[in-house]
Amino acid sequence: MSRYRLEYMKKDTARYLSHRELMTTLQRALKRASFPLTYTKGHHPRPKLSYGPPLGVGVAGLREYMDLELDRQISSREYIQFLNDQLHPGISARDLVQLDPADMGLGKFINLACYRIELDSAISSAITTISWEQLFNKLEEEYPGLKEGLLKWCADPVEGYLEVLMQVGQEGVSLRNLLEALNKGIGTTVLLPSLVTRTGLFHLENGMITDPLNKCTYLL
Amino acid sequence: MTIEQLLIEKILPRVRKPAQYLGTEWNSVHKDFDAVPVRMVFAFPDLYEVGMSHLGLQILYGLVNQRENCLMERAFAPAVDMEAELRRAGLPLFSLESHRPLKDFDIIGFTLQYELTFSNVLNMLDLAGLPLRSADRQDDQPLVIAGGPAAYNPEPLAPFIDAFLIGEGEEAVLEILDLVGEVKGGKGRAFRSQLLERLVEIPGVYVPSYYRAEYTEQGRFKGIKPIHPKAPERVQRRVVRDLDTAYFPLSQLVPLSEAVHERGMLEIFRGCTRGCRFCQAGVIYRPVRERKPETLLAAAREIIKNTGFEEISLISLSSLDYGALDQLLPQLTQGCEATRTGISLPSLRVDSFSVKTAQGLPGRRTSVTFAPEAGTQRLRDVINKGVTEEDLFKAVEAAFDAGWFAVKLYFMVGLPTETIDDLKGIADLVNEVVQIGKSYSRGKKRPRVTVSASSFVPKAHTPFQWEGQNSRDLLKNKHEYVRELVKRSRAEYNWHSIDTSFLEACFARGDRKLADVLEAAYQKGCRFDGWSEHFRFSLWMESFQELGLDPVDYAEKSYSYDEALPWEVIDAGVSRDFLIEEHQRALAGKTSPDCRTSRCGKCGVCSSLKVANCLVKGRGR
Ligand code: SF4
Repeated sequence: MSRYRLEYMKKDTARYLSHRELMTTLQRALKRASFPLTYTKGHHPRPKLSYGPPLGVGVAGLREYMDLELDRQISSREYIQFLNDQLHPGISARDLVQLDPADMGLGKFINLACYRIELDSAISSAITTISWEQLFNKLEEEYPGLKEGLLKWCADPVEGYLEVLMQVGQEGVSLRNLLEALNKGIGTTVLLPSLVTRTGLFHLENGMITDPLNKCTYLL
Repeated sequence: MTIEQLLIEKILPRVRKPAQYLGTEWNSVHKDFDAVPVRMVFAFPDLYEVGMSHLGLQILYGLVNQRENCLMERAFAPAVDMEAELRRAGLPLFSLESHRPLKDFDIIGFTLQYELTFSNVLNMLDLAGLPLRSADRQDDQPLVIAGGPAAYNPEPLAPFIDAFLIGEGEEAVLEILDLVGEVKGGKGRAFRSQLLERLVEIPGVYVPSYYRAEYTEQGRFKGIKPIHPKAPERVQRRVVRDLDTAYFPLSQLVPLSEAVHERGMLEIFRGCTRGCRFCQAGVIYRPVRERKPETLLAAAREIIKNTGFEEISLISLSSLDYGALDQLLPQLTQGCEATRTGISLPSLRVDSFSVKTAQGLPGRRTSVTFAPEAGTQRLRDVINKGVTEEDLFKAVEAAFDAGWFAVKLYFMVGLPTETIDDLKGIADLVNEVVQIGKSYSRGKKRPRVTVSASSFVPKAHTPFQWEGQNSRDLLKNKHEYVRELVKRSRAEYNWHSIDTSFLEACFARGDRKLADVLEAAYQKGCRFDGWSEHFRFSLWMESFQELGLDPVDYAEKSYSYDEALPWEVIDAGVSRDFLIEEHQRALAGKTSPDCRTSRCGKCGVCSSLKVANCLVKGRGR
C-alpha cells in the first residue's frame, strides 16, 4: 500500500461545485485515469480517499489537497498527466507526492487557511468611512471566536483585495461567518463566496507554518 | 456582457446548486456553434437532477453529436430560484453547453415523460422568449417538436408544439435534422411553414395544425380529421427494428450536480410483453428486442472506462426477463471487479429467482422493491399481473435470507373492478410479509416493510383506456382504509397525492380543449406540478372552471367502445380489437400469456409495424 497526497486547484467556473460534487468528480476522474485505488472491503467498496477541509460553493481554491491510498507505487509525473486528461475545465492536478507512512493525514495536519477576497470599488469606497481596523475590532461582538481565529489580515485597497489567515476547525471560525460579519459591518450584501479564493492550506505549530507537501516552512 | 459572463458573475453566485448550469459535465460536447449547420437543443421539462438520469437524453445527445453537421445541446427546466434570476435580469433560457439562447437553435425538442411536466414546457417556451402557441410564433422562429411517452396523447399540447415525433427517436431524429439542414440550405433559418410541409412526410411525425378536432353539437368529441392533403389519417409510431446494431451511447454524460440516479446505463432490451393492462409502456415499446450479451459486455466496459461511474444499471422495463442473464451476469460481474463497479437492476420481478440473481451482484444494497400491484389473486388476474401470493412470499423470504433488511411493496389503488376484499387483500399481504420478516429480526430490530400505494390513472393506448378513474373522495377513503389496516401490522404506508393523480388522469386522456386550461394554469403560476412543494391544485381547478370544462368528466369518465378517443389519431401499433379483447378478458378475470415465452397474443404490433420479438435465445416453449 502506498499513500499519496494530491495538490489540485478548483477555479474559474468549477468554483461553483460544492464539496460533495467536487469529491465525486475527483473520484470519477481518478477512476477514469486508472489510478490503482485501494478500496474498502465489503459489499459497497469505496476508494480510500480523504479530502482537506471543504471548500464552499463559489469559493475557488488554488492549493487544495486530498490523500489517496493506492495499491502500488506510481510515477507521479505520469499519473498527474493521466489525471489532468480526465479533469473538467477549472480543476487541475498540480502535484502528487508519496507520503511518509507515518504521516498524520490531511485531517489532522491542516489547521490554517489563507483566503483572498476580491473587493469591488463599491466596497473599497464604503470602507473609507469605517476603517478595516474598526471593522475587524467589531467582529468579536456577534461572532464569538471569530476574531481569535483570524490570525492575520491585510487589506490592499489599491489592488482591491483583502487577505486573511484563518484557523481551520475552530468553533465559530468559518469563511461564511467572516463574510457575514464583514457584510454586516460594511452594510452590504455583495461579499459573496464567489469573490473568495482559498490560496493555501497549512499546518501551524509553535509559530511555524508548513504546507501539506512539506515544501516550505514560514514563520507566522 | 454575454449571457455566459452574466451567468457566471452575476447569477450563479445567487442560485442553489449552481453547478447544474455550467454545462461542463464530463463527456459533454462543445462544438463551434456558428460553424455547425443544424442545431438542436434537447429540452427536458424538469429539473437537471431528473433529466440527467434519463436514458433518452443520453442516447439522442450522443447520436446527434456524433454527426459532424449537427449539434445537440441541453436545456433543463430551471429551478424556481434560477427562473426568478433569469426573469429579473431579462435573460432568456439558454442551453448548457454554449450558453446560447434557445431561440438561436433550429429545433427545440422537448421530451414528455409524463403529463405533469406540461406546464414546464410552456414555461420553458416563455423563458426562451417564444410565444406559447405555434400559430403566434413567427415563421423564422425555431421549430418546436416533442416526443416521449406522453406524446402518445399529444392533444392537450397540440396548439403549442409544431410537430410531435411518436415512438422511438433514434432513426427519426436524424431524418428530421437532415430535413432541416436541407430546407435551411445555407440560410440563417428554415421557415417553419416550409419545414412542416416536409416533416409531415416523415413517418411518425404528427403535425397537429394539419388536423382539426371535431365535436358534436353536445360538445362530445367526434374525431380528429386531417385538413392537409399530406397529413395521414393516423400517425404510426416509429420503432427501431434491430436494437443490437442501433446506436448506444458509450460516453455518457456524467452529472456535475447531483442527479437522481448517477450511474452508467446499459439498456439490455427494449419492450415488455408481459401485458399488464394498466401499463402504457408495455404497449408503446412492444415488441421485445434484446441486445446480444457480447454487445452488452463490450458496451459496459466502455461505459465504465469513459465515465468512472460507481455503478452500472441494467436498464429495461423488466430486466430479470432478459434471456441471457446466465451469460451476461457472471461476465459482467467479472468485468466490474477491478474498478469495483456495482451492478444494479432497476426493479425486481416478484420471485425468488430475481432475488437470488440480485444477491449475486456487486454493489450497494439498500432496500428491495416488489410490485404485486394488487391485493388479491382475482384483481391481479384482472390486471394481468402474473404474480401469485406464493411468488411474493418466496421472494420476500429469499430477500431476508440474502440479508436485505428493508422491503418496499408497490400497490395500485382504484383499479377497475376493485372491491373492499381487494383492499383488505393488500393489508393481508403486507401483514404476511411483516410476519415473515419477524423471524429475521436482529435483536429488537425488525425488518422494515414499507408500502407505497399509487392511484390508478387510466392511460391512452392501454386496455384500461376506457375506464374512468375513481373519484377523489373514493380514492381517499380507500387509501385511508388500507392505511389503517396496514398500520396494525406496523408497516409504513405512503400514498401518492390524489390530486396529482387526478390531474394526471385529466391530461392522460385529455383532448385539445385542455390546452386552454393548461395555458391558464401556467399563466396563474403553475409549474413543476409533479413536485408536491410546487403543486398548486386550486389554480388548476380555477382554470378548469374559468374555461367551463369539468375536470371530473375528463378523469372519471368511462368511454364506450364506439366512442372516438382523442389519442386515436396516434397509432401505437396495437390494434383496437386487441385492446377491447384485453379489456373484456380483464373484466372477466382472465389472464393473457406473454408472447415472449408463449404464443403470439395477436396484439397487432408485429404485423402493423413489421417487427418481431427479437430474443437472444429464441422464443421459449
Ligand atoms: S404481435 Fe404477437 S408477438 Fe408481436 S408483440 Fe404482439 S403479441 Fe407479441
